[in-house]
Amino acid sequence: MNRKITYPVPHRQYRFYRVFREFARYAFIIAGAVCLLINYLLKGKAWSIIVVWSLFASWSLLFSLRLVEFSIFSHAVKVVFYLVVLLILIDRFLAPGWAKTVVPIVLFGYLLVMFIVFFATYGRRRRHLVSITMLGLFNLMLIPYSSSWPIRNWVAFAFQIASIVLFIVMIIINFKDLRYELKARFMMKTK
Amino acid sequence: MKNNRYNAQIIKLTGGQSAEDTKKIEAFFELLEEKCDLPFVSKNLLTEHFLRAFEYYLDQGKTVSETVKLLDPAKLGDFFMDDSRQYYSLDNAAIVYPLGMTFDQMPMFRVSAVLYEDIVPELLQIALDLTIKRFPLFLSIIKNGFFWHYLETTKLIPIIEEENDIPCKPISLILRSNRSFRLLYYKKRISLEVFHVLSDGSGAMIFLKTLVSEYLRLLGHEIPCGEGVKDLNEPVPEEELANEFIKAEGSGSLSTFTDKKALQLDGKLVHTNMSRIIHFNMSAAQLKKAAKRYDATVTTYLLALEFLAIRKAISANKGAVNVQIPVNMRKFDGSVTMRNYSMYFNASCELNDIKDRKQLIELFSEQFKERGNEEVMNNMMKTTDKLISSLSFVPLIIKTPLMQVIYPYMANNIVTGVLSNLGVIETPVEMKEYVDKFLFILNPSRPNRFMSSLATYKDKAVFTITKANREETLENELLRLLEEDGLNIELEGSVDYES
Repeated sequence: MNRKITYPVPHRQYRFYRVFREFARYAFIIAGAVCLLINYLLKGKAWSIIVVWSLFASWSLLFSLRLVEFSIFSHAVKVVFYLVVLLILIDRFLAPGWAKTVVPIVLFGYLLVMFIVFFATYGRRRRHLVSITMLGLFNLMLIPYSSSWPIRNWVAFAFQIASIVLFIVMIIINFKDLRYELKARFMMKTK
Repeated sequence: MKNNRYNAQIIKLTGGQSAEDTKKIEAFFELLEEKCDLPFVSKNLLTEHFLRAFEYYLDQGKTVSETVKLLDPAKLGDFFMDDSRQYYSLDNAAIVYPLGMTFDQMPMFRVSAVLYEDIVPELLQIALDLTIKRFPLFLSIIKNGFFWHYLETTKLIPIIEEENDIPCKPISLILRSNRSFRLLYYKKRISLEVFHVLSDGSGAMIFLKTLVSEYLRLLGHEIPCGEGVKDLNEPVPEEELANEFIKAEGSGSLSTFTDKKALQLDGKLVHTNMSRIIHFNMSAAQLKKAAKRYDATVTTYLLALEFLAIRKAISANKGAVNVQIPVNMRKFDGSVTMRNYSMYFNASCELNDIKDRKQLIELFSEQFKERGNEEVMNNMMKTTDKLISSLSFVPLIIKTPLMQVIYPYMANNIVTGVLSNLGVIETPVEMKEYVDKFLFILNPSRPNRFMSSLATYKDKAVFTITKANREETLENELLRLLEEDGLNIELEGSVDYES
């Protein structure tokens, strides 16, 4: 159809990621299913669960980015969630006995780094508040996993206490903003 | 002047100026700094915008006094003086958009104003900086709530872009560049692309008209307020931010949402968001006359032609063709809301029953009366409100995947395409000599292969088709039908994006 062209010719087409994502979707599903089948047929340790979780984590972190409120900060929190679950799964299904100590150390280290970044990027601090709160809550949720009464694993306990202190400090400093965030995010009305 | 990355450039501006002008320039940038009490990056960005505009004016031979008067930072008001934020729930129409969207598919639309002169980007940027305070909702970002998405206003400095990509491409919602609209310029055209959660065509058109009037003021043309051009200095009325859907009264039956699966045009969907845009430029008087000949309204007439063209563009033997018609609810109650306030109905006809203009116009005139009246629309609004209320307690994490599955069956699969008539666009008389025409573009949503829209300004009616397949049967047939009715059509548009 002959027409006067009044729109610019686009510079680039970003089709690679889209095609690669489609390819990866099927590759990941097939790889996961094959691993489960082989593991079932060969018996032994349930290594396929770790493979499936790793595939799911890779898919989620590389190909299924959040459409709303994606940021490097929120992505970093997502990374630690998948990582910690992976460590727990390895401990449970492959090589038991170390995760109860390692997980609190990893989480504390991560929380500390995130706190430094959080307070260093002061201007953008409010945007990352929910992500860091989620990280703190995730840490709290894992306390029963690493510690039980009477306390035997003092290393884990010490790191957990340190994480809790960091989290409380963060809540106190950002109390006003956190209250605002909670009000906005738990709003139910559309009025 | 205090800590400012642009101090050197400001000093350069004062070079060669008289002592009095130097003082004026310094006072200008000091006032600008006062008016922008935001983080360092934002403050620098705003300074850069004003600096460029200042340089542009001086290059054009304006005096410092004239420049200071035109760019006066006092016009920014208090908007950028604090980093406060406010949250808004999404209106009932917008609430579904973020639930159904994917990376490739985002409900976007574009309204454009085509001027007689090339756009000056330096001044367009200032026009945006000054206009945005009157439309704070447009500076919102979408966020995840526990139950629903919501909008949060920001004080990010908005940035214009030169158009160099396919129109209506999804906007990146990544937090660092988190605007929910784009303002683009290309030659003589200013385009506003809006994520549908913010507003509908009517709301966006008011923003665009106000922005264009401010741009024209910066060029030295005084444009009075009125006819959709807002006064930038008045406070934002509450009514402009209202979710008007909650006013609905009616029975609210769910059947208003459902319909038979509709046929789609032949041809594979392209990988980009659209394959091409075609504008059918024609005389509004001629178009009206052609419609009158069949005793039809312009919308019904175009709809009938569209169905005849669709008949040619579908190879199936039977099935239903449904074209969605948005209805601007403001015409029923005079609402001034800037947010979404449109409902819709489907104009439909069985493929084999599509015969000629006269028969189709009679059918659609009847359907407009039956399906597009205030009572039916109110009923639909009530249904929407009921549905949303009943889903309020379901966490978003559950609603989102569910909606990804349900949405296509309730929305896109039951329509073949869309025809949206923005109506006759009014502006102050003073604006008419600088603006040639307005355009309205809808982004095709999968699996629909086409969207159509009409915008009329002065004597120019622009009927736009946006396609998502490569076949050209629909537009060729439409052209033939329009020319058959004696209309002189001037075709404009884009290249084929996937050729």
